[in-house]
Amino acid sequence: MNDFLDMLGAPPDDALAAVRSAGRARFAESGFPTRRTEAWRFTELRKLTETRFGPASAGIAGMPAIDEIADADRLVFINGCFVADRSRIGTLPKGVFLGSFADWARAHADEAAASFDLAGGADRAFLSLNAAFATDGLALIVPAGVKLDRRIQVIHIASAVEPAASHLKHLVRLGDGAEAVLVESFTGSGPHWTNASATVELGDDAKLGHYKLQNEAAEATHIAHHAVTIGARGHYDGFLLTLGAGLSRQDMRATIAGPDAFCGFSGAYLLAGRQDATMASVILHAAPNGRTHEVFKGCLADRAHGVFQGQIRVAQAAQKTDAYQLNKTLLLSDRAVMDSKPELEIFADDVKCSHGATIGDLDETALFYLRSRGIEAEQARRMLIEAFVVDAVDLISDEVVRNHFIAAIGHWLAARKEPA
Amino acid sequence: MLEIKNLHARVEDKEILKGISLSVKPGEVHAIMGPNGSGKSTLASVLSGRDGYEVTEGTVEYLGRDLLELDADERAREGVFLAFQYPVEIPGVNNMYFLRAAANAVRKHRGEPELDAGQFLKTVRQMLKLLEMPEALLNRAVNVGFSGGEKKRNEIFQMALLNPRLAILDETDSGLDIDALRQVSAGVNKLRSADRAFVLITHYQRLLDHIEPDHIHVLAGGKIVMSGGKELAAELEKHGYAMLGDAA
Repeated sequence: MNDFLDMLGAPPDDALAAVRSAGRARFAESGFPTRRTEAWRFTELRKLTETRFGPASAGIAGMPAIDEIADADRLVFINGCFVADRSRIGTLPKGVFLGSFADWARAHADEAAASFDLAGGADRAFLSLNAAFATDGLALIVPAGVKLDRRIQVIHIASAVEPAASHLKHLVRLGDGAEAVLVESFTGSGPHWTNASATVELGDDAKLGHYKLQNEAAEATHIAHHAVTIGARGHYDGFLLTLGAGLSRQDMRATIAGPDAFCGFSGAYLLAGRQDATMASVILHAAPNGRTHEVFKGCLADRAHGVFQGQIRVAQAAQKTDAYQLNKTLLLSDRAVMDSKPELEIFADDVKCSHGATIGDLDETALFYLRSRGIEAEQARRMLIEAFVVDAVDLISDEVVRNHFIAAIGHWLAARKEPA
Repeated sequence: MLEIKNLHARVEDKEILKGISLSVKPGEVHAIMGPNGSGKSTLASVLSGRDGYEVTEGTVEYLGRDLLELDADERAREGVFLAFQYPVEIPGVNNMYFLRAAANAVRKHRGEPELDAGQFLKTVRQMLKLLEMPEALLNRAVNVGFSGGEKKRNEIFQMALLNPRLAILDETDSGLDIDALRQVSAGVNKLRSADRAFVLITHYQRLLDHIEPDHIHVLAGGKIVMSGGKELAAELEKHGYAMLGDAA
């Protein structure tokens, strides 16, 4: 494991030295999770663990076109580093910090250090690496009662010619009653590995829309972990659209910490070729009257492999919990594989929890119906796939973001040539 | 317009059509009647190009072309329309979006300019008026939550929009109450024209009270056992399919 650490280069030289060395030590102890680690049993990591990743370079040649979201503050990160002159942040309400995590950490070293997860263990191996190497990321600190009226768009561009890694650390902290909408997108080129970690804290009555589009290059690896804590009556509306990367995994650990809170975590995935994507969530209801709504829908073509592991835990104190989970997948090829593992762990007696999972083919009757009206087979297939996944995208409560994501799905479908 | 000669077809190992011949000219309305299991819907499926039906013998010529050579969507673009016995519900696909995709596929094929959303809405509104249909149907997902009558009217609406040369209506009257039957029939009658032909497939004579056919054929055991003018319907009504006797 020390070899792997050395390959990744020297840790950033900053005020977080203790975090860096603890992260290194945790990783050296645990190593990577294997398929014997239950939460990782469907994720084939060999492609990552057997690659020799160097540190990513700070700059890239040529700037890709950026798909802008209207009326948004924009932050651009290239290979894990904040690029101020590509970013555009308007005037912010008093007390709000929006910018580079590295900048924020310089003035708040202790708080920044406390935001890293140093618990260690094989299933936190990527968090340990993240603590050891994270260069930068987004810091969004909103004081109590402040509602941001512009959306925040965070654009990550990852680019490498030879295998290279960058590690991002986000901290989003909304005070009581604060509100924000955050849209993240990941794009790039080449065999780059992104290892991202986001800590999201919602105070009482706080509200966050957190929408992520992972559209990295086909050769790229994308590993991300979101740790979300939701206070009383808080509202977290999360969505993950997975289109890119050869190997990707998104972990979500959400805790409903106060009563009457809502956690929405839904997603859509469109995978082809030999793409391998895992969506693993653990949503913990620790307080009463909480609601979870989780819908993941996707479609797998060619030899793609998808994994959905969704765990909902209801603690004894969390009476009147209402949790709903659904995972539906379309397989477009005989060689595509989906592993779906819904899990409910309930320790309270007065709760309403339901889950369901289906894996099926495109509806041939519907396909014939569309074709019988003159629509070509390929277009008919696209229409049905889009309808299937957009059903999940419709859960995004922000209309502009919703349309942005639907357009991304449209581009994916249009770019793909369906083998007849 | 449509020349069916000695058509044999099977589903898996079962031969269902056993030598059908039928000639349909532009402007004509042909009714094909027959008891359950006689092969009526199979004929509709074979003509529209549904998968799973194998033609083992015979030919189907449509406007001088071999119809059986064409895929289902090509047939539709060439002007063959099938109104489904059971219109398919497609959750998530907006009816308006679907109709525009279909209309533009056909227009493109005919060398006509495609319609944008605004132009299409105009066309659609005119058509709604003609068929006395509520606009609300357009903003829902295709056939989802539609009543039986609404589904069949949506079929007729699609037919009007796609302006086919040959329309095949597969048991369009089934499951309709008398008001819905009247509305659907009125729609079909408005679309009758000198260069369009209809093949009406029906179990009951009552559809023919509303849409007057030029020819009636009785299908039984995979063959046409009797053909005649519109008066044949009354006879069938009186005596039932039992009158076919051994022919059935």
